[in-house]
Amino acid sequence: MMQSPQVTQVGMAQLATALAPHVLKTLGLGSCVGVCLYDARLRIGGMVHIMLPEMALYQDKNNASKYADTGIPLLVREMGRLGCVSSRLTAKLAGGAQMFAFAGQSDLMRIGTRNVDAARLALHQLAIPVVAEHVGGNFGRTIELSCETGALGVRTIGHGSFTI
Amino acid sequence: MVNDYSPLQLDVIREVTNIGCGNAATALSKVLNKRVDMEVPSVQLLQLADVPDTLGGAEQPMVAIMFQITGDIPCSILFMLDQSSVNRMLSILFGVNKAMGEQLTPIEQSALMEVGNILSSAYLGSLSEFTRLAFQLSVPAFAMDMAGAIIDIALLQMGGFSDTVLIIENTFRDGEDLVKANFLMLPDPALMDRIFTALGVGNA
Repeated sequence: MMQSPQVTQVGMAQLATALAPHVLKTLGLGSCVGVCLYDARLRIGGMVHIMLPEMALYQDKNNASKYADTGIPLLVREMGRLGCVSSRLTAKLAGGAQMFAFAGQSDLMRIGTRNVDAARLALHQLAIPVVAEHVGGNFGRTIELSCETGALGVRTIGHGSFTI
Repeated sequence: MVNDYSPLQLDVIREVTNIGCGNAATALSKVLNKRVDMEVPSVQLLQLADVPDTLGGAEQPMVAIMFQITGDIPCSILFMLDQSSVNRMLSILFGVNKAMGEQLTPIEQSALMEVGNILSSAYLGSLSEFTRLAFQLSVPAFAMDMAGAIIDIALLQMGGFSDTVLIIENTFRDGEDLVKANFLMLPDPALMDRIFTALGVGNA
């Protein structure tokens, strides 16, 4: 009988790494972005659940994994400790939705788009290619990264399920 | 940033909330044209990461009505109902019986937004009376999706400042029918201090 792989849940503003065949999972991403990194040679995955684009814009400096510009480099360092080389890493992104539509969009309401942009920028600066993404829209997502294959499952309510 | 509230501050917030929610229940009763009872609301101080679990899990489908508050205390309010409460509310309002997971029509969405509007206005009205602070509600915005996805946008408003959040859970009762409504009011800690100061427990 096949044993189902162990699942590690990544909470808001948290990050985690895991070896194959573990699965990394984060539930109910709205405007937050799940950034998934994968080293295909070592079959090691990493996931960070970022909430905001840039640490410098906010008062709370205690949790680097809350922000795209600090959380992604931190995840790369954590994976480095497991032997991953950043030149081998590939990235997949999911989330960054805009859950509510108000007339006269404030910056806060556009936070999903800003999170996605900040994540892409941080990955670009680390020369990590984004190989797949499922971002934007007005619906939430639950994501699961298989450290066995690097496949990222995306589930929604009423907007289908995908593997990217 | 430390934002532990004292037991006295929490008691004061509970009492104001109780009265505010009482006004909301009266308003709801007028809209529905029937008696609506209310249980004592629970007021909780939670860690950011624990909020989705309190609402039944990050993947729990929920309806949320969101308001932007302007005036003395700029913040957001989220009025959230789980699916069975939504269905009960619609059955009371329209006499329709929706299946779990069934899409809501635009008129049903609009009706729920109006209920959210009435309840939130009643609640803020009494908070305004106690604090003599002014609150203006925006028009409501609607979402029906996973609890985790809905609240993260509201939590973000605090997310830059702090990892703690204040949540009020209300249960309205119409005979055997329960409608469980969660108000999430999310001012940043400095604004919370202004509310406590206005209530006379600034340093208590």
